[in-house]
Amino acid sequence: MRILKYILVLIVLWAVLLAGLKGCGNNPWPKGMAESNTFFTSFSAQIKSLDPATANYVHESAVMDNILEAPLSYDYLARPYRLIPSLLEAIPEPQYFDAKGKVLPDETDVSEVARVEYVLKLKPGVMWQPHPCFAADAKALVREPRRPQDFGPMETRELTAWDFKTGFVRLCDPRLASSVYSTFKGFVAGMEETSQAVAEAVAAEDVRRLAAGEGRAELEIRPSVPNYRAIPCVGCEVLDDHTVRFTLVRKYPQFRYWLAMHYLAPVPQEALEFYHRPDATVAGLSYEHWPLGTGAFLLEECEPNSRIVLARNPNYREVYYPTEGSEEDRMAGRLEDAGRKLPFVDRVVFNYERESIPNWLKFQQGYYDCSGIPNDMFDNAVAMNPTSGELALSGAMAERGMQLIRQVPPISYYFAFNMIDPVVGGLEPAKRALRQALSMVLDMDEYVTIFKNGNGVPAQGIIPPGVFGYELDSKHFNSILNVWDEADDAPRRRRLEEARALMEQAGFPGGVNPSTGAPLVIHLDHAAAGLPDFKNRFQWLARRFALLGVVLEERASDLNRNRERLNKGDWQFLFERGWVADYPDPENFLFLFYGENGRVKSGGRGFNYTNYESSEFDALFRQLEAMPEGEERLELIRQAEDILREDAPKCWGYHPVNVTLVHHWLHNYLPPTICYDNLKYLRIDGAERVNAQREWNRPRRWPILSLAALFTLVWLFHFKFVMRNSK
Amino acid sequence: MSWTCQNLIVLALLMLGVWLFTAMRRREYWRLAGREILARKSAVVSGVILAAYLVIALLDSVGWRNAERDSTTGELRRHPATGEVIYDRGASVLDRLLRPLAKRQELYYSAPLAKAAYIYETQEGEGGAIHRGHPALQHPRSHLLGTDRIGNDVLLLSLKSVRTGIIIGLLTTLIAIPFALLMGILAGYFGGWLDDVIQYVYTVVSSIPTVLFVAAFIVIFGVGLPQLCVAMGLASWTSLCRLLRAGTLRLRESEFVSAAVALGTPSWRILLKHILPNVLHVVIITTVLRFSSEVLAEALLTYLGIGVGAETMSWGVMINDARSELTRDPVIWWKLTAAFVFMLGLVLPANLFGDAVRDALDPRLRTQ
Amino acid sequence: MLNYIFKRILYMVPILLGVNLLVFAMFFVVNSPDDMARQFLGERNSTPEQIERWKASRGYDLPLFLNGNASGFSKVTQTIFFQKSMAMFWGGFGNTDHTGQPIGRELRSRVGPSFALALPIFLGTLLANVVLGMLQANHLGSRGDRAGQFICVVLMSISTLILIIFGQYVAAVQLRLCPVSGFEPGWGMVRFLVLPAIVGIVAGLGAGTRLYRTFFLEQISQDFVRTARAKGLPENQVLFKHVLKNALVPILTNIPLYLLMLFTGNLLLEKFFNLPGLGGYTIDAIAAQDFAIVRAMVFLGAVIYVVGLLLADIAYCIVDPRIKF
Repeated sequence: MRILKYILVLIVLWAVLLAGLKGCGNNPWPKGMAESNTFFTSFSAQIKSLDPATANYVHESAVMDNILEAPLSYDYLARPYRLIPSLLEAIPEPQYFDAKGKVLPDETDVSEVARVEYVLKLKPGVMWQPHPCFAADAKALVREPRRPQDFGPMETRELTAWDFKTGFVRLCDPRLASSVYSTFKGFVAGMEETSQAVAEAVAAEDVRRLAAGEGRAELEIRPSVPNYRAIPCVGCEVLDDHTVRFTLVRKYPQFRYWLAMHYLAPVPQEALEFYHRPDATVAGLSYEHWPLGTGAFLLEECEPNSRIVLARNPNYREVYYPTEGSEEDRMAGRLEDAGRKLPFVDRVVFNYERESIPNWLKFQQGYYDCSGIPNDMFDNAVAMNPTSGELALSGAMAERGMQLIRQVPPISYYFAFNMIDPVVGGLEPAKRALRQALSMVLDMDEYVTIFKNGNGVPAQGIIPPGVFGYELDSKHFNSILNVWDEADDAPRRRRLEEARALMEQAGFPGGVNPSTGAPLVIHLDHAAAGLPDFKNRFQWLARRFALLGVVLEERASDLNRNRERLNKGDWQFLFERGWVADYPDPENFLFLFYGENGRVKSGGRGFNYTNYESSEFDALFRQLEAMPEGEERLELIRQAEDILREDAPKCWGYHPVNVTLVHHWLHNYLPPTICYDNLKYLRIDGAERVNAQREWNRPRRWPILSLAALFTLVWLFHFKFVMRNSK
Repeated sequence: MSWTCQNLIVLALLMLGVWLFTAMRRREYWRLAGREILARKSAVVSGVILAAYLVIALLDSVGWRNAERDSTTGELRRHPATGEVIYDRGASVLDRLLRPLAKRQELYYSAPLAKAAYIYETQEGEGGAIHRGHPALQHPRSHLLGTDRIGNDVLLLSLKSVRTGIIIGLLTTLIAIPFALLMGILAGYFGGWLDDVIQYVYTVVSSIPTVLFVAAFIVIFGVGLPQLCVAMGLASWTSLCRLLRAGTLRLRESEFVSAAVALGTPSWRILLKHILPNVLHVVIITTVLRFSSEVLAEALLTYLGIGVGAETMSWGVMINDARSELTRDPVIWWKLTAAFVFMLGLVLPANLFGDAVRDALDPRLRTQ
Repeated sequence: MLNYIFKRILYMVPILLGVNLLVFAMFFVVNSPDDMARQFLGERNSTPEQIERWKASRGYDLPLFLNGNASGFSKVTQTIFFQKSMAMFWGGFGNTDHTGQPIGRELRSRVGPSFALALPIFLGTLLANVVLGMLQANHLGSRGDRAGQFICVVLMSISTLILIIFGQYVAAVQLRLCPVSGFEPGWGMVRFLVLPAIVGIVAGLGAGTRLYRTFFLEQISQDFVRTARAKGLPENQVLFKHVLKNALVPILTNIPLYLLMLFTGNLLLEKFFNLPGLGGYTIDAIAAQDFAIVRAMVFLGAVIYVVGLLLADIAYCIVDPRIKF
């Protein structure tokens, strides 16, 4: 009897084990997904808003810009970046007027221009994505709706100029607190009046609703939606159904780049009203999470905490893959689809990956179609070609047919000094020498090698590669901090002795503060205590400063307090920060130093965190801001950069290099930099992908099986032992 | 905290320890227990290792400041106005002992006892051929446990982390014990409304998830080692309290307590004579179990961004760094290994020693 | 006994009230709604008007405890304490501070995955701890016991972070038996849960087994066990009937703590394995400083814990009839 029991246990165990092992596999997607025409990607930070008026982060744009479209866009392949019309018939040309309303020629000086008009002509026949808000009698189709698709029927209508106005007037809505409002209102006419009018309209609507018997709480839960179309707005006027006119108060050629930013995307009033309905509010729907657009993809699933799914927009108009590209594009096969109708993929899945390691592993297994290389993986993934000196993929990855894309996006990283700080701030020669000395010892070559695995270009100033005005040759580099190394054909940091000499000029010989007799102490302000590499970076900075005899102390705070400190100018030396280009124009970087934008001066609104203010620079900036690209502007930019290098309000850091890996079944991929509407260009070879995934991920069952076999043996021995004992 | 203050605290703790030791030596019960512990080979070895760790932690907690001297003339530096002597930031005894180690700076990772850095650099070989190679170290074959990302000696980091580990392991539990002991025994023994009130308090506190409690505390009081210890201590006294109450509850039903009650012994005597010695093993077991988990919890909290500050070195930080280092190829294994070995070197003896202490103190287990 | 259980259930109310008050103090008194508003508005312009508006839109503009402006009953109800804190008693978790989505709905959809992970870990840990603890206690001092003790200590000294990374590397990358991370509703979730569950069990094994071993040791050394053995009862019966039953009291004391740890202790597992559970939600909320969610989670954690306590107390009565009430 006993032996039966023992054998029964074994049988059951083996049955469970074999059944379990049979179903094993490391595919993280549901069955059949890999075969479908779906692009798999991920996002690594929580998505807070997909509303074009309030979404400010790159990972939000990466989703949203594929759902809704701005009036203009960028050519997918052209470098330097080139604007193309997307919702418009053509790129609008500005028309200049003087104070009397007389038309002025294009090359007029800034000071004479009193008004600028941009007339936008819409493409006819652009349709909105299907949405219940366009149906007069939409109602919930399921008991507990979670998505707009759970309401029906779904209808559409044509995009009109009024939708642009709705989108624009929303930027002025004080309740949304759009981050671009304060910048825009300096250029676009009458935004403050519009903002006032919105507030009044909202108040009137509130009064109407209260009179209709709604409670105060109801107003809070479902904030009133005014009729944005009816609100007077001088800056953005509808001329007819397909024409809208923007009016600026000063000459500002960068406005055409603004037209390519999602902040100016059209928004249908119907959708706002739909999300205002009680049943939609109860379902948790809002424009922030369920934006509606005209883009190639519509939002099918939106769980910002787990995943976001986009699906092909059935109403998408005829748009074709670009036919022109560089030789490099041709070599990389990015021109194979030239002239074909977009989009290629049916569905895009964004998965929330909180950790970079799982993300990387899943890419290695073929479950994500492309991936950036995490910093620490770099040596592993990339090796240098011994003959050409080019970076290339290492063995295993090259064997799997992965492709390496190396790209320098328009981003600048830096460490900032507070220019109104009594110790490091100020434009006196001594203070300038101090900042130069401190910047000089922070050797960015070494920094990039250690912390970015060499994937960065030490910065010579604020303007990054790929933006007009960036230059790097033996004549144009930061000669204050560097010398030109002829052998390397690259700038090299000046020697330590020179930095020490500067310290002497600054009045701190040997790093000693003569007024106290003790070493000079610099405070590093940051809110980065939790960042994985912070400790190392801090130590590195402290070690470099110690070479000058200067002591670096950290002053940690949380994001909130850090921000308050910035707004008050109560800080000294700021930990690494970056600026990502909104558009490929040097103005977008140089404005970080414009006096009027000073963080403290503007009451915490400007982006000039350093509070740098130099009348010389400001004059140059005002001049070059409104200039067309050309030799003359370049000269002014050089002068402006030289002033900044001399004054050193920031320690110029580096421009990161993005290294992206792409599987061979993904075609046409280019990492998005300024414009994120890249998904429609991607093509997937599904059959190829399925084969590769199967090939690379055959489960290895033998270790488990041998463990089970070992257990069986032990079990049998035990049985024998028990039997012997019972005898 | 100034060095004087820190030195005084260390001195006070040492004196407390000596006083406790002499007080215990006077009692038969503890003398017997001590003899029993000394009879166990594993306990003695563990005790020696623990003592070594304690000494390192103490050496790292005691220090002084030096007067600064001018680098060229060698004269004392003085404040220009007041003429006061300027002191440097000071260093602990351990820092001073390890100075030769600290001076052996490298630029980047290097494996234990390696000759070259772990970094690749574009080098020019013979005949001008360009290849990627490893640059030579400034102090080859001198880093017993290798170097980390910015070229710090890992042995140095591990030794500097000892103090953090000991402080977190000890202070947290020391903060928790008085609360737990008092409340647990009173609640278990007296029952009634006192039990209700104490249960109420600890149930309310313990219902708040520890991580969230610590997070809230750290957000309010800032990041740092003392704050972390207090937060963890306040969050964790409840579990010990609960165990003590349950233990006391069972003891209250036992024959010898019933007998003592019947004989009219006053409650406080029963508590001190019968209950306390019989629940002390619970305290010791929990302390021992907690010592390691507190040290480990530090790693978790560091990962969540609510651990120790950036200037404090700790094994938690080292393990945290190792997360990404482990996925490199070839693997950076030495930092994780060092943290792991040093932590194991503390936790394992602590557990073995704790076991010995428990066996010695628990009268019911003594016979075995 | 029924009377006792009823009393215990009533007792839950003041405890939850206390938690509620404590949470309220932490999140509204120490950290005022103004701080919250500033934190949320962040890089956007946080002017006083916008702070007021933000507070109004989320109902944080009311007085804390007593509303002087209101009359009668609404003096009490028109307050932050009543609307934000007390409301949680009847399931009114409100909306998230950041996205304005209803928290209650999110919690309902996340309780499933969390529970699906917590249950196997709980049962697996309990089973493993009881079996291993008893084996060790029963072979006290043997070579196996000493080896087991040593392995326990080693296990205790390994950070869960390392276990997770190692587990992912071996099971998902080398053996390719289960996905690195992710989730799928329905039966498909099993293959996503196997690895985190095993890691969770292993992570709790060292400390757990040691603790349970001491529980059993206490019992084994008692007279009634010796008597039972002397009577010639088979070893199985001695262990299961006498030792296990008597060791149940301390074990049961530990179970509600376990339940609570499952709820928050899986934070790390859920984050690493990307499970759409409560832990991951909480971590995101901490990182984003979404106080509404953290508040709700703390309260929910308290409810789970208090229910666990109740169950343990009921179990006490059944196991140890000597305990009087």
